[in-house]
Amino acid sequence: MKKLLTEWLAWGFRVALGVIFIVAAIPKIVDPKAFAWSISYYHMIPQDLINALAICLPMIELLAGVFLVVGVANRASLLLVSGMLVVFIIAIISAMVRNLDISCGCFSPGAKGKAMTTSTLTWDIVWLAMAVHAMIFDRERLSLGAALRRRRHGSKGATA
Amino acid sequence: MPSVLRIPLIALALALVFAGVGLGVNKLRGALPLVAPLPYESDCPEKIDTSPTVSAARAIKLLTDKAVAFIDVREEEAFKRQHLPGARSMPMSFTMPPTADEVAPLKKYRAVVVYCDTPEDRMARMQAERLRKHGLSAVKVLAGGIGAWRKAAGVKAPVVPKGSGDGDDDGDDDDPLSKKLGTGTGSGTGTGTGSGTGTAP
Repeated sequence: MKKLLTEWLAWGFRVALGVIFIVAAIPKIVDPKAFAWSISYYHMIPQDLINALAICLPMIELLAGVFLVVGVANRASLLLVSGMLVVFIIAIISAMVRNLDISCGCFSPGAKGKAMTTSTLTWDIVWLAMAVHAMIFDRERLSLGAALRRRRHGSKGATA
Repeated sequence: MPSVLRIPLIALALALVFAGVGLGVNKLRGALPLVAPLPYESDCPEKIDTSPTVSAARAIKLLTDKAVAFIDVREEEAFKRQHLPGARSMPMSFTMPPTADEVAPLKKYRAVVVYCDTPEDRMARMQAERLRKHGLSAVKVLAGGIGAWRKAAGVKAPVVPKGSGDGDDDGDDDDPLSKKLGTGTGSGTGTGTGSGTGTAP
């Protein structure tokens, strides 16, 4: 029973993280320039790489989020999301240490975003914990990838 | 391939493919050049304090108090067009903070009220913090800046020559375009002194 609960919890975390990343990615894709400004406020990335990051990162967030929701390459997607969260956490801590008065750019890039607070950091840590839990306990429940695999193996078995 | 390496490699491959999709979509949209033609120059991102503020109504009363100094941190042109009666100009500069010599005359005042015309009184707060660093303790910010004073005192915004590009940005001009461009073309009537500096009534 406990094992079952843990597995469903892992599924819940995976889907929740997927939704969070999709929601976070959309405004950045809609307004990449504002996101580029958000990145620049951190003063961590060379100027020449800011635009490339502003173009690529939201799409990685979006597609990783979609993969998590539908359940494709679960562990790899969770690892990818965890990696991004680690980078975000480092960036937020760095900004806080340097006393920068900026918004994190997580959900509303540019000047529209709310100012960064310790809760921003806390949420990222919570999401990272959720991703790690899902990575360990995910048993591919309601997973499109697993369903396709089962179907392929089934059809192979039928032809053999 | 060992299973320990399999998942990180798949994750890396996914990241590269997703990034490629991002680049492709961006190219189709033509949204952003891959390398910014100009560097991103963010204005001073240091944390600004939540300085104690003075309301416009209170400021009007304080204007008659000789022991209170009013500091205008807007550009000199804006100061010349209009400023609070008796205020002195000390434009906020990111690169040149006020010197000790500039601050010294303010030490004789009981309180200093700083104002600007930027959203959330940002410039005034920054300048207030710099003045405090010079040892001034009673430095306050006029909440809402010169725009709030105009409203409270019933003073109209001065007429700004078209194309000057340095109008007030306090959002109380009549022309909505001026709000956007910061080239105040309101119907105010600034009064000029003999030296040509617009002063408050």
